[in-house]
Amino acid sequence: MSEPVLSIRDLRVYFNIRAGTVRAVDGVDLDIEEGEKLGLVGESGSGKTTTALAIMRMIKPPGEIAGGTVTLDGRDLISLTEPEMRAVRGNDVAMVPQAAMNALNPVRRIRSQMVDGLRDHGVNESRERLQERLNTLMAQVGLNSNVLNLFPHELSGGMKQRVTIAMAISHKPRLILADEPTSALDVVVQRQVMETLEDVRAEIGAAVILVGHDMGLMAQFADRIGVMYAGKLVELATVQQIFANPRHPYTRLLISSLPDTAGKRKLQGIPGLPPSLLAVPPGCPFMPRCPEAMPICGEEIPQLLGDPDLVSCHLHSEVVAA
Amino acid sequence: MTATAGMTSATSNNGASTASLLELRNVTQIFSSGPIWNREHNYAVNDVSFTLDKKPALITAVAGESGSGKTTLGRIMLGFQRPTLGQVLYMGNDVNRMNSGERKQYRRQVQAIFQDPFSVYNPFYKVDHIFTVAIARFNLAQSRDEARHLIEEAISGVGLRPSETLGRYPHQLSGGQRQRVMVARSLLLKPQIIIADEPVSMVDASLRATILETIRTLNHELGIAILYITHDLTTAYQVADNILIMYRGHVVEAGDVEHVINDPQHPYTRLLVQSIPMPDPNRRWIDMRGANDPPFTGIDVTQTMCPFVNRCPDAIESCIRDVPESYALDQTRIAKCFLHEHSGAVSDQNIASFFNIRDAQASHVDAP
Ligand SMILES: Nc1ncnc2c1ncn2[C@@H]1O[C@H](COP(=O)(O)OP(=O)(O)OP(=O)(O)O)[C@@H](O)[C@H]1O
Ligand SMILES: Nc1ncnc2c1ncn2[C@@H]1O[C@H](COP(=O)(O)OP(=O)(O)O)[C@@H](O)[C@H]1O
Ligand code: SF4
Ligand code: SF4
Ligand SMILES: [Mg+2]
Ligand SMILES: [Mg+2]
Repeated sequence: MSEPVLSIRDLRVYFNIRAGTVRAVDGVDLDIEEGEKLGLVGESGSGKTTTALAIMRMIKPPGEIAGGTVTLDGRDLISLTEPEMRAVRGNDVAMVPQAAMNALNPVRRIRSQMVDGLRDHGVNESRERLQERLNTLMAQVGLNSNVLNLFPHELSGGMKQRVTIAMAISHKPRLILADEPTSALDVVVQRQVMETLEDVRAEIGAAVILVGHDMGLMAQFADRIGVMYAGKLVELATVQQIFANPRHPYTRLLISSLPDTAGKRKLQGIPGLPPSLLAVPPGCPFMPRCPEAMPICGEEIPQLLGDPDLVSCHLHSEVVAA
Repeated sequence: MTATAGMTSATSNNGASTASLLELRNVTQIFSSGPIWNREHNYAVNDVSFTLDKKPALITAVAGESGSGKTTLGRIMLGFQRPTLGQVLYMGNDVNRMNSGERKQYRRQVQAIFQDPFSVYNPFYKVDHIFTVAIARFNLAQSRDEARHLIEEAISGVGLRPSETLGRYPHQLSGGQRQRVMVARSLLLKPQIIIADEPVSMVDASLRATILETIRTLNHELGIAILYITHDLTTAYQVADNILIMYRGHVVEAGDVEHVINDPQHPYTRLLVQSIPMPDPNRRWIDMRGANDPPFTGIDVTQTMCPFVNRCPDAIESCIRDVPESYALDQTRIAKCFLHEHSGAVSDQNIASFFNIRDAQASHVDAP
């Protein structure tokens, strides 16, 4: 196998607040292959956004990257200086944020915001060349170049999200982080935006980490799915494997809580709440809610094991032997 | 009036079926903007008629893209907004002509649950406050003990523990807990109708299932009629009996949810259904791409055309010449689309009682 584009080892992100230390991301290992589409799912508060922000080194105080490595194309991002990191952001890793509306400056036209984005990253071209470039970017995300002359409030939600995608791909990054890019959009527009994201991704050959909790969207888009629970990855497997044969009890419950349109049935949420990240109980963090918990689960933290599909659950300790 | 009644044939003098709790008659909401010489008129709700019945009390979903008029429709039904045209009748009385006693009754019997529960709370009061205010306002209890009992009963009724919920400030509860507290408040008031506007669009799948199941229980066990507003067709399918599909203020398709979602007849409903992200990696959108282009793309849609004509892959000449009527596909279903013209139009009054699907024996169709 070729070198992964992104390689994360034992990543820890802690928020030091008055009540104590919130272990938002607590020992995540993850490799992303070239051009791969990885979905990162989990309940609210499980650490998905924090993981993405840590890759960009955009964690703000009281948060800090408390340990681990993030390697992009062989370069350790954690040890870069801030100016070096600034060059990586946008050029090598780009983010499509959840709330496109907040990412755009409301009082400036789209054109000048995009030009700034290009200039910030050292693009120094003639007006004509720049204009050509902007037109191409707009066409790539399915927008008319007239949109460049508009203000954000003159755009629909889907159009704004396309603009942020155009900005994200403008430097042909190796990795795109998309944090719930369509959760504010209705289904038809969501589909169009996701198709656009897939088209441009394929065109520039970037890998994507798609963060979200919509398993339907993940099934549509991802090659592999990582399931997070209480700051840890608890299962990491191909999308087919996750849906056909989920192994972690939490993944199984997540999938069975999904509504579908093939017959009415009782909707079943996952009972209980995730643990407080200030004081995660010993053993398996899912134990208080797990229908299949055994005595050992309260004593030992299960390890994320397997090859190539990974799971951390004592029910699957057989993978250790394998 | 022959065909309007469902299971109850009694009608009051103004034509409302006595089984109907809340009825919309030809309701239109126009928002106008721009200078006088160049007024723009936005038809947020365009000539909508339907009823929520008392018996059977059903769950009716309203689905459609953002801006299609769902929230406006809900606000009109709650009496928060007086429509530009048309009438809203509660138990046969026009809500804009009620005396204060009737109005208070209407306010109590029709309750709302909104998308963002946090905005409903006052951050300086404990969550208990929203219950005590409701109890005082509607005189629900004679003593403190009785009030306490009612509150605890309501909170337990939505699957929360009173001891872990009461005495807390809103920010000390999770989003899903806050939303369930709002459902508990509705439970306490035991209204006849709940209008729930995107109640689960901000919570994750697990909590979504829990909250929707609670809402379903309110309907099945307490007989509360529910209007479930959403843009999520899968939850609408799971929860609702009937569904109205809205597009630019028009109800373009309506009927029982099983048929509408699994056999959509209006081109817009088809587009919506095809866009559902199915949780099945073997059925991807991507494999279903390449539908034919709409013939009237880019046309300036006016009030005298089908509102969907610029996006419709099936559009024909009639679609730019006229607005389609509501045609009856069968006893339980209408579609506002020329492709179904041969089925015969339904009059607005009849649409009002069209969705009595747990009891669909009467013929609602006018002779074509
Ligand atoms: N600035 C902060 N201060 C303290 N705790 C924080 C801060 N930001 C995040 N956290 C905590 O870190 C944990 C992970 O949060 P994160 O935003 O990564 O969750 P998420 O998985 O993206 O959830 P969602 O699905 O709701 O977006 C949560 O417990 C959260 O409360
Ligand atoms: N108070 C208002 N003033 C002016 N326009 C409004 C107002 N409320 C809603 N609208 C407009 O009415 C249309 C329908 O909006 P809404 O009912 O909120 O749709 P939905 O809930 O389906 O997203 C939109 O075009 C919206 O901009
Ligand atoms: S390790 Fe034990 S408690 Fe944890 S998920 Fe597996 S069975 Fe459940
Ligand atoms: S009336 Fe015509 S344009 Fe409108 S939905 Fe039907 S076929 Fe399409
Ligand atoms: Mg997040
Ligand atoms: Mg709305």
